[in-house]
Amino acid sequence: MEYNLIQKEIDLFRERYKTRRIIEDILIKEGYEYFEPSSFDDMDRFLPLMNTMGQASMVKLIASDSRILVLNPDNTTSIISRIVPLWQDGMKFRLFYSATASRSDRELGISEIRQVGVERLGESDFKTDEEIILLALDILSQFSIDFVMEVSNSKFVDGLLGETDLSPVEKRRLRGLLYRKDKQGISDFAKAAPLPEPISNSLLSILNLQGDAEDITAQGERFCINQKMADSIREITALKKFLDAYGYLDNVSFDLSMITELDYYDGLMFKGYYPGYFKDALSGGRYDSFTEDYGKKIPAIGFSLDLDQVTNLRIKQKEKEGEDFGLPQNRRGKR
Amino acid sequence: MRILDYLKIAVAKGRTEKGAAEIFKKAGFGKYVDPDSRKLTSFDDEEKIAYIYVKPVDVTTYVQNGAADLGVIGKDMLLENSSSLYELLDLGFGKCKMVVAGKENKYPRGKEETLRVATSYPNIAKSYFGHKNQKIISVNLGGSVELAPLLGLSDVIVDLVETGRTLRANDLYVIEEICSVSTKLVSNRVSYRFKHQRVMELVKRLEEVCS
Repeated sequence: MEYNLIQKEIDLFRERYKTRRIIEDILIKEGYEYFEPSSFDDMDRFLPLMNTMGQASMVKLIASDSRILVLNPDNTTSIISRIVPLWQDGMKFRLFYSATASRSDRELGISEIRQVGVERLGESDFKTDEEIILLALDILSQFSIDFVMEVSNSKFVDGLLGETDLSPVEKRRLRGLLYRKDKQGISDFAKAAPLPEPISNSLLSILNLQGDAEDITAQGERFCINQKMADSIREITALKKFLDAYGYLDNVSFDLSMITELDYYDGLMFKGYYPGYFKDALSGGRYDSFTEDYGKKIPAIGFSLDLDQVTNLRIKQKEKEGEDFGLPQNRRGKR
Repeated sequence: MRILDYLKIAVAKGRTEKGAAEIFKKAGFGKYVDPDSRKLTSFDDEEKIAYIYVKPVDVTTYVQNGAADLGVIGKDMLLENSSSLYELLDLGFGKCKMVVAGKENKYPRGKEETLRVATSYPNIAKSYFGHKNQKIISVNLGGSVELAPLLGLSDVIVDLVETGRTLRANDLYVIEEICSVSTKLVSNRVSYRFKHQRVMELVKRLEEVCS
């Protein structure tokens, strides 16, 4: 192996630049406007994020006046914290960004996460949810048609846990168990809490509800004990029909028990994976409640894409197919 | 390479490996080879499963990074590495407890400010005492943790206890129980999606012999 070949680095930069351009072109065509998250900010600005992300994973800087600053840990939070305080009723934004978030990790040290993402603010209708997930699928399929998108709706688990009198700390623990699909852990928790049997039964059963939307909605309906849960099933049913019409159903796997790392979604959430990579390439969802932490609840939905993973995927394809590789046709474009 | 379309399972070497061999055999995975062999991999060509034998501390690394789809590993290692893997099944063996132990069955006096804790599980110790607002200095050891309080290296230990025989033999007593631990079948999030059917089939067959 040869080290320090500057040409190789320049090659990588070129591929990353091209990848970014491909995504940005799609977003601009769809009417999204460019927004720049700041690269660092007061730590206070990210307080709402600390519950889920943990303060330890933020990269801190000390300013000359001893204020603690952090390098932008999450692009969505950075954008929301700037827009929400200035929000006026009736505003609508379609924004995209191409920026780097920084995280600190016990083992990996400080890492840079290059992302391209979109945020749709001010629109709460289901049509917006559909447009966003379709845009996410279109972008994923732009680079390879071999991918899986996990789709869920947080209202189901939220509605279920809403029926319990668990403290916020206990709820978080239970969500942690769901996050790891730890059946044994959930059943132990349910015994110790104790949780009413119908609730613990639903919790354990939803772990098995994976994959086909038809199955999931049929079975999930049996567990619905309030409007919120019924809404989640209704939305998944509608989404299934919508995705089917665009030919994406084969790529989609529904999972009612899905919990995400940054647990700030309420409603639709999704994660996209390419085979051979052990991290999601794309993740997003609706996060209206999260904006409330910044002073006002506004409708918000979006997703971000891991630019490095997609670039790597393109480079691998290029190596496999020789120089004259073509991008797979965008499915929507074919129609 | 043939290993590509195999379901790859990283198994923690040692006691876990023997317990796993038993359960996998019971579930009809007959080609699960001899745990006494020194080979680091074995292939079940019928079931299309590749077993990879690695050190217990390395199992989560293999699974997390996709070098293996599944892993057979103690809950202690999952807690220590704060893993985000799916814990699909409790395999029902390797049951023990993570405890705080010391020379008496209570915390030594005068150590209210900072407690010296000897352990091979520094992250578990830090998080447990952190929740209790107890400051600690963690003394990290690779094994024979029981020696530390006896030689004055630490005030207490945080370690796994199965029967309690080692503790008793060294005149140590359990002060507090942190949690129960047993062996888990884990999966990374991506294999769980891309090989969902095969993974769930395996879980189902193992589940039948575990309960």
